[in-house]
Amino acid sequence: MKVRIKQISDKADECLVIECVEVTPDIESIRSYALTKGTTLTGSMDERIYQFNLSDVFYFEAVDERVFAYTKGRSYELKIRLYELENAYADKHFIRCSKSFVINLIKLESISPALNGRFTAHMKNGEKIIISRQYVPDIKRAVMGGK
Amino acid sequence: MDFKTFFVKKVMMSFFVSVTCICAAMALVGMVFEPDARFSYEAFLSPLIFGATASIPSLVQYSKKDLSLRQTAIRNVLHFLLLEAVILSILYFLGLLTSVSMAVSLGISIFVIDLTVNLVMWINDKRTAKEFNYALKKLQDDYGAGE
Repeated sequence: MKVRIKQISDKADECLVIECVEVTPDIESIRSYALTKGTTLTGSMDERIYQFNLSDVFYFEAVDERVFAYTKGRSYELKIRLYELENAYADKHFIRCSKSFVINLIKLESISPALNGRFTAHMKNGEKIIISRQYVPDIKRAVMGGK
Repeated sequence: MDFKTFFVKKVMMSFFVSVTCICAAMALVGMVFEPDARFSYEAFLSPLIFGATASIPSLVQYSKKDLSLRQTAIRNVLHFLLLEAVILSILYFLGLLTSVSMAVSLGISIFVIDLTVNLVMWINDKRTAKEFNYALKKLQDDYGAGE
């Protein structure tokens, strides 16, 4: 595939156009990658507001009524519900793995069996998150397809 | 998972599997040791009674919240102890448990079956995790996130 990059002056006009004969899984993957790279979130930490890339998020966690995004060594509080994040970023490799967690599959190192049909998600930052049994089929479908 | 879903999925499934296994075991053991024995209609009730009583201890595994690995392990041990107590008590009150050695051997049998079921589940989950991790790496490579 040919790749052309054209420099423009206005950041607001930045745009990625893919010209293809057919929308194959590879094209979808490039689209998903581009969308994730372009997405930023706003969250607060120590009473200050920060912007960060969605692609840097390892996982989202709901604690009581508050939702946090975890990046490498940082956590931001978000003004959004966990199910809204789950729905908004489902096509960007974010998936619910338990009542309180939505994980980034791109930041997932591996999984290992836990007790009673559950699994442990080993994230690339070394953290471990439990995958509830009821969410295992959805996660398998997202990664393995129909297998 | 709410209690209704848990009851239908876990307890009812346990009941039907237990009843099927008890029927199969009664038929096989009966054909080998007492092929000429005849029973009345009441005999149909014993698999149902034992199936129901063997399923009741599953209720200790219910929780509205996601349990940690430690909490799950404790509940699994509790489930096993209750299962032993319920089955041995019923056999004792029905007058089928005639000696200590018989109680001990039955207790060990229940332990071995419980251990085997959990071991088979764990081996199956291990295989699933291996296939998942392979597919995950492929997904991440396609995405360009292989780190």
